[in-house]
Amino acid sequence: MPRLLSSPASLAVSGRHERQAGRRLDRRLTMELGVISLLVGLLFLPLPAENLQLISQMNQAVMVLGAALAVYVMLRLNLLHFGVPAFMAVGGYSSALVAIHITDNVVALVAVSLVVPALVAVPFGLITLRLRGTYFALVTFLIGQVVHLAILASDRLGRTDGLTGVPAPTWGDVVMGDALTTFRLGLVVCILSALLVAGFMSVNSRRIDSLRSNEVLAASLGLRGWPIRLGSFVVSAAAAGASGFLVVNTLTTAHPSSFATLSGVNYVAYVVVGGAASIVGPLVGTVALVFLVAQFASEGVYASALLGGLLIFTSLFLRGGLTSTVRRIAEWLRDRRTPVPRASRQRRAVDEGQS
Amino acid sequence: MRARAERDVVGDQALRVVDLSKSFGGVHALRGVSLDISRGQILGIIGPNGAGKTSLVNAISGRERPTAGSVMLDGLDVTGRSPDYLSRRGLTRSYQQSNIFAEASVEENLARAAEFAGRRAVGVDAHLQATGLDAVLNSRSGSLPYGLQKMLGLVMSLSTGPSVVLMDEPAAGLEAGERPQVDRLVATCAEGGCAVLIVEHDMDMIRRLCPTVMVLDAGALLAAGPTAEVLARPDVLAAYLGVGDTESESSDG
Repeated sequence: MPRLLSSPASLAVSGRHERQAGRRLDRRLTMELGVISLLVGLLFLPLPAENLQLISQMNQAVMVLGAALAVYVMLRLNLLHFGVPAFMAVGGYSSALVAIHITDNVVALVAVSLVVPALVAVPFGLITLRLRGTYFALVTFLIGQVVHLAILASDRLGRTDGLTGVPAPTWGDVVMGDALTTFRLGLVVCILSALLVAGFMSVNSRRIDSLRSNEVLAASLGLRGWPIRLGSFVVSAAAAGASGFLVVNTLTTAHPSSFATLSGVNYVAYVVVGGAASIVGPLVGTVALVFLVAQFASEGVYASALLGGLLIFTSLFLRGGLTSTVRRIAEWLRDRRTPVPRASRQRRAVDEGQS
Repeated sequence: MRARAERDVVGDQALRVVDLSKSFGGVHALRGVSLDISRGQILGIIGPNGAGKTSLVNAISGRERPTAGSVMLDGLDVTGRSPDYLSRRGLTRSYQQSNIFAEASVEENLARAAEFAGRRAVGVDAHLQATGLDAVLNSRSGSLPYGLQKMLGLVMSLSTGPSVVLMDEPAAGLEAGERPQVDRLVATCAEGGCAVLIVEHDMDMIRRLCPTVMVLDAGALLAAGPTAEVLARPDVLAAYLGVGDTESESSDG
């Protein structure tokens, strides 16, 4: 039988390992909770209700933030997920069906948009998570196409017309129909998605980092990889589904064009440009690109060129995205002011390697 | 209950491999190899390149599913089980190349090994001191010299508290001065009751560490027994060192 740890000296070393690693996790979690707190603060900020353009752009950002988080969760495992629009569609359409036929209670609708895609993700995950790299990206893209075709073929889902006249969600007697309330509801759903993603990533951070870094070694040390990968896929689907609910809620229509497979490329761009070290990256990338693209809204071609150009530029020159670049610049400036002891530089190199 | 009954029968036997075969299409990498290793025993596996040594380690450790045969760990049939299952059951392995979490610190690598295996071995501190890793605990492991990376891989596999450890060329790529450290790791592990299987080309290391040795050639067992006797056999010398070929070529010439 395997020998168990009993030496006090070994206990001291192992305890130290866990404390060190724990501090690193705490740092990431603290930053993520800080960002989530900012989102909560935004809820209570008085916004100019008359500035519809600003509200609309902010709403667009919160609408797709869940989709960016869905890409981020899988990218942490080095898996490029192009099937996010499929799970957005599942969340969006299922909440629309519930709103039309059963109840327009906001809690029920949000719950449905989170749970149904998560359940649908299980069989899809069992099939696709055997694959890696390009094959995973291709198959998730195909999932998007399959779901899109299923919607177009279904009378119940309105085929090419979609489901129109989806009622606005309600909370007691309050109907959440106006632009400001729609934005605030979107923000609450984003905060839920961010908490779900940050919580999952925090609990499984060490396992996820290990699978991304060296899957063979992790397995030979005893790590079961597939529950982590499947869990990530399910959490990713839930975040995407919540995003789909927000799209349907904003448009009051569940339409196939809202969940076009190619839109998955945009969500990947948000994460690549923002960075994938923590949930701060997808948030920064989404807000930056949604507002930038909005400046080119009248010229759709330029908007696509901007997205593509930024994606290429970031991949070539800003590895790690905007958040990592800003952090590196801040550290460089700090180092210039005060010489950093070698040990601290080494520690920082380790931290950077892990993110 | 059945498992306990089987354990009583196997006694001190930690690993039993029976008629293990592995084919890749028409290529037979392993042909009916059998072996037994008891607790505390160190068994060397040698053979020329392509003899099937790494295939044997891969098939035992779950990296490759055997085509035929069985693997018994502590009396339990674990044939074809996944590497993570085997590791949690106490069978771990090290790799020919350095295999670590390169982006993480040495300390974090060790913490991951302990967490994933769900247990930690006695004497990790001693292993760290013996290899010099205790001085670089906070360093990024990927930035360490190759020898230290290799040592870290070995210490990680031993720190999971295995009952059986398979070492695939633990001395490969190490400087002469670093090899005695591997000796100490292996000896400490075996003294603690761990069964050790070493695949190695370094004959000095095999002579120093392994009282018994098996020779593989073209996927099949060529010879097995006490190391000194086996290494002196002409057929082993011919297969391993090509002595026979050289002689016949000389006589032809």
